Amino acid sequence: MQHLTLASPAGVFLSLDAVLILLTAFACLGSKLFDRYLTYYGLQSVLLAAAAATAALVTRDDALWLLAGLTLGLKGIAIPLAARRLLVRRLQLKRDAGLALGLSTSLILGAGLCAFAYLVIGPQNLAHGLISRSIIPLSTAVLLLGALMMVVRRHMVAQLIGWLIMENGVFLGAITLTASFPFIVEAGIFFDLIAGFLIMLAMTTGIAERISSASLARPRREPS
Amino acid sequence: MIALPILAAAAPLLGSLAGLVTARARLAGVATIVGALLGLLLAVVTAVVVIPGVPIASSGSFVYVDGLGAFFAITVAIVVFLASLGSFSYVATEQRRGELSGRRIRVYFVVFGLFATAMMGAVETANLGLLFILVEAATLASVVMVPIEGRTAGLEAGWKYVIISSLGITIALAGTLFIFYAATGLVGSPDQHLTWAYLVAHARSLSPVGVRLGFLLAVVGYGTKVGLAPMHTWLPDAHSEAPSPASAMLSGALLNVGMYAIIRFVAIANGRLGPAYASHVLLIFGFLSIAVGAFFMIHRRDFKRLFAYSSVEHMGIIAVGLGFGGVLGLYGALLHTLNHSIGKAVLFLTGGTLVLAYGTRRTDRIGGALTSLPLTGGALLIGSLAIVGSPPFGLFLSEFVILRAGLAAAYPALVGLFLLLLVMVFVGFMYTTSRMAVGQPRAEVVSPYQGRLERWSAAAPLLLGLCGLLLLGLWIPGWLNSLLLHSVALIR
Amino acid sequence: MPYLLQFLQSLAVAALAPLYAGVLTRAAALVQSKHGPSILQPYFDLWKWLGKASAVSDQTSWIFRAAPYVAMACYLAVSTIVPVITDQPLPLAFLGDLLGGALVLALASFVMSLAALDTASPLGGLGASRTTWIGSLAEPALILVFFTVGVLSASDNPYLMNHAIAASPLAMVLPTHLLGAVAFFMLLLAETGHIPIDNPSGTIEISMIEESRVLEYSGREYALVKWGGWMKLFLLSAIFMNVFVLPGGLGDGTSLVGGLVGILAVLGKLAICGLAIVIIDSSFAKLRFFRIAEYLGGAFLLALIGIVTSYVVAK
Repeated sequence: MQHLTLASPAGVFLSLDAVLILLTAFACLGSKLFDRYLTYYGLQSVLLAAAAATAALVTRDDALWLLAGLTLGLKGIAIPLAARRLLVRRLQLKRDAGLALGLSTSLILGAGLCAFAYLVIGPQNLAHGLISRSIIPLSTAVLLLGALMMVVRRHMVAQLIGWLIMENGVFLGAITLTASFPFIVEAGIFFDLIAGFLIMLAMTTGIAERISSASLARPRREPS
Repeated sequence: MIALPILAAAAPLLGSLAGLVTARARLAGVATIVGALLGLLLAVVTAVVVIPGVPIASSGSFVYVDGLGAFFAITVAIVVFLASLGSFSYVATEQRRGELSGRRIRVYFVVFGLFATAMMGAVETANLGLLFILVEAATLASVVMVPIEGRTAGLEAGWKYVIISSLGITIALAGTLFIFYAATGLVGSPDQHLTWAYLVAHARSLSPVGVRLGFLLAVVGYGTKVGLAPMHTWLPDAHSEAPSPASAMLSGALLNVGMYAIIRFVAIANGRLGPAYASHVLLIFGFLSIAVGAFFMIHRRDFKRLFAYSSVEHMGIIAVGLGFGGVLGLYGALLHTLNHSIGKAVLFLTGGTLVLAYGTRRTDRIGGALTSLPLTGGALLIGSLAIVGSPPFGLFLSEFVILRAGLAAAYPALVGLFLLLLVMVFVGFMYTTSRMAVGQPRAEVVSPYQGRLERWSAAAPLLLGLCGLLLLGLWIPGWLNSLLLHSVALIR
Repeated sequence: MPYLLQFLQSLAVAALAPLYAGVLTRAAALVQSKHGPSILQPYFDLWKWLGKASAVSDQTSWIFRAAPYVAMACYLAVSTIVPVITDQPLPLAFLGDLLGGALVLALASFVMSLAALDTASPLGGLGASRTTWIGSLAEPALILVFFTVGVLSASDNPYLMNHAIAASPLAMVLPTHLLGAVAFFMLLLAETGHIPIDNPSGTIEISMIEESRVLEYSGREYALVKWGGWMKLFLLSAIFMNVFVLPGGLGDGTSLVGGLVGILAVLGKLAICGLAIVIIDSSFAKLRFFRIAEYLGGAFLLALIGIVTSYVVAK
């Protein structure tokens, strides 16, 4: 990846892909329908799989193909499908009522965080290679947007989506490094993510079944 | 040789899986205790092997045990052993009362084993990526434990725990990645770039910005796991809702694992940026944590939340010790890790018996424990004295060493602040627990345990732990001293 | 020769704008499986209106009568400074760059709002306030879009931008450029009052935005107003296609043949742009009024990200 510059088609595709991933994160932040959250997350994961495939093509590393396939299958298809069926349909979630800040305000904050990520990390020349230098600030911006989503949304499912977006951002950074991040580590991160998702799914369903779907947006505080 | 730490880590899991054969708490509990004991013995053997100076390492540092790792492994193993003893009696009692179904008991012990193994594995690796994976795995395993008693509040506390921890852990992953970026362009295969040994050895040639960013993110991220303020908000809920032996493991062991990760990063940062940067970061978080712990301890109505805030405070003390730096600071911090683990485990197990006997966690409904439950009440009182740092217990010694380190590093004002906060902690903590221990017995309470085995396994960890604390307060064994000095040398 | 081309450009804009509007209307009807009016219908309408007398309310002042002429003058002025049929600046192009062009268009809109207020009719005030509100949200976004133009061509001269894109096709796929183009298209829809901001063929007064401003006009002034609106759409679409999307095919400013070929080229490009407008017209519904702020905020955000991205993704 070290020689990847903007002149080659792979480089152009990768930089475009990264910007689209950033835009899907913004789209998620700017909507309040649960179906949309899942759609944008699925789209983002598909784009991430495309980025992984491009990296695999360029570095001729077979392990990355496997990772791209896993990303597509699990994050792009399985997680949105499972979440849709088990959470949105079963609990009949439509509109997210648990917004701590309005949509416009969150988007402005998101844009601010994006600019912050670029300004802080962009010129630092952290990694060699043109693409790595431009993709890493983008992936940090996605990470920050996911964190913002977790913070400004009070609904459990929205917070879950925010966390998944954060992980996508970290993954984007990991797969475009100049030398490949050891595959076993990426696989481990992957399966941690799946396990975390399943546990969160179980908890959300548990709380919704115990109390009500409305309580998902207002978790109780401990009295003292 | 590599098999030794792997076996030490796997032992608790094997024990609890062996006990899966039955849903009866007794057999599963005994198998877990055996596994935990085995793990402890193997950890001690590992430490003996490693003390001379040659670490046990595999390629890519997936398994890497040096003095520091061995020390933390022993600490974790001790807590796991004590908690397994406490689990036996606690779960058996709950099964007898019908509060835990057979299925849940199976889940409890399996998760207990997974949790213990993941924690042991995390301190036995120096590959930053694998460290992340195992810390996350341990977190996820412990999350399952929090709502296991079936209360709604437990589910909500578990949710708060998992979401805040995941947020923090992902930030820690980003920090790991930045450190990895900082090492790009250096010689050696990329697999090596994630290993701690390589990074420390080549620290001078790492990119300073990458190390700076990576360290800060790692402290914030792993600091969420450790419970440093202001990332501690999940801690009181999770530690109070979980069953008490699980709380013991959470407070006593998991927080330490997070601290182990931070210490590894401190070594890298010190190598590249000099001691000042890491020191300032840790001092800020440390004092904030002590202050938060101290203030929130005042007038707590739920004693498990009180213990949880005490954990926040002690993790702050450890961070401050690391921040003061130097041989004294690091030595004090490591010693405090060990002392706090034992002390907190004892307190939470005591709390477990209190919850079972009184049926509530509210401090205004518990009183006269010394009269009704002599051993438990006594352990509560003595354990509280120990945990707030009174002599002759171990915590006093380690806090004293940290204070001396602060004076040696020429921070007299901070040392004064530290002492002030410790006084606040003493007052806040002892006020609540002493009123729980002494006074008129409030109701007809009897020991919840039936049978000699249950009573023994409930009493043993309390006695062992308190004796250990007393011992550590009066005398540091030679081998422990050399292990600590060895570990300190590794970090500097 | 350049002066002739200059005159030809303004003539082309004025003469072909109704054709563009007619084609759009016809295409929208076809997409909805209707027959639709003839594509020359706007010309017939113009002829009809120019022949009618205008009825002017006695509550109005001279502003009401003068506004359509001022607006028309603004549109003609803008037609001289943007690349429509040539990619070299024509003699009068020094009058303004993209920013200047935006200011002149804003002047035209301002004058029409004044005229709407002047009528003292409630619908006029309604239209004026709504259009001004949309404008206040769209203008900052438009300025940011010009900055993305500036990133790529180091100026906000549309001709230079045209050259920059034509010179290196790579610049077309730069994220900055794409984001700026998408944002500009969203703003084009907002400024010219198409779906999803406003329904240009709507008849329900209470939901009109642009149309209610000009409700009081009739006869000759109405012809000028309508014509001006079509010219605005033509100009913005031409800027969009010539500066952002397809910079080629224009004349070089010295030969008449080149200019005529340029006219054909711009008509072809506008067909593509028109297709996009028609597809959006038929696929989406008009936004609820207060959601227009979110739409324009989205355009602002895209332009902002485009600029910020330019710091990291090199040219």
